[in-house]
Amino acid sequence: MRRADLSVDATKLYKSHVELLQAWERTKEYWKDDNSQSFEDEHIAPIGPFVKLLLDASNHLNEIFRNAERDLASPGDD
Amino acid sequence: MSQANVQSLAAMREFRVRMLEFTEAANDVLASLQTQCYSFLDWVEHDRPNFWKQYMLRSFDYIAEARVALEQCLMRQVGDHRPTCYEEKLALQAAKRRLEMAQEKVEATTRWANVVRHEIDEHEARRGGMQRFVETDFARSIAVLSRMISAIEMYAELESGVEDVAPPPSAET
Repeated sequence: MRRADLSVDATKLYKSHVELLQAWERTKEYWKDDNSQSFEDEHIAPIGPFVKLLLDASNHLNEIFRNAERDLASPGDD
Repeated sequence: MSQANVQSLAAMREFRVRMLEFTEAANDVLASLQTQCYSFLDWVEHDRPNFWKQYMLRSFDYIAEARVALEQCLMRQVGDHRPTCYEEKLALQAAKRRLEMAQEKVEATTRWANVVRHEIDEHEARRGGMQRFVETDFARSIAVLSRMISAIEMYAELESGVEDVAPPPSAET
């Protein structure tokens, strides 16, 4: 078992974001006006870059953790 | 001002729930990431150096023990027969290899501690950015949606109490 596995949290964040976007698509079917579009532009779209930056950083750090753990493991540890 | 077109107030309410759920999930993830990062850093900066230094010290002991065993073996000459002491020589070689590995690992812990701390700092910048976004911008987004829903609800009450209504033009402020 790994000491740290950031992929679980990264996956959870990714799924939550996808679910939010899917929910927004469903909402737009019933909310069609300029306010809807501006709400998407100002409040929904900006989430994406933050999520992507964190996911990329977490995946990169997870790889660092994996290599460090492999290199520094006690003899006999898997 | 454009004419609003809100066919379902329920859909907006439902989406507000989804936004709150996203906030909760994001906060869980952000907290968990931070905990895992600092736990791993502690392992690299404290647990591992202690472990490998102790391992190195024990390796010196093993080498000393293996040397004694080899010397004792070599002294067991019977007549013209000199013992090969093959196993004892192998044991000494293994003990030396163990020490070399331990010394390499002690150096590796220092290298990894620097790398891991730097990478966690980089990650923390991204994690902190997301945290601030969720706590401020996204919370504000939820508040904006809530105000829009409230405005429509008030308008609906004034009109007929039915859900499918056109909201006031200034629903979003």
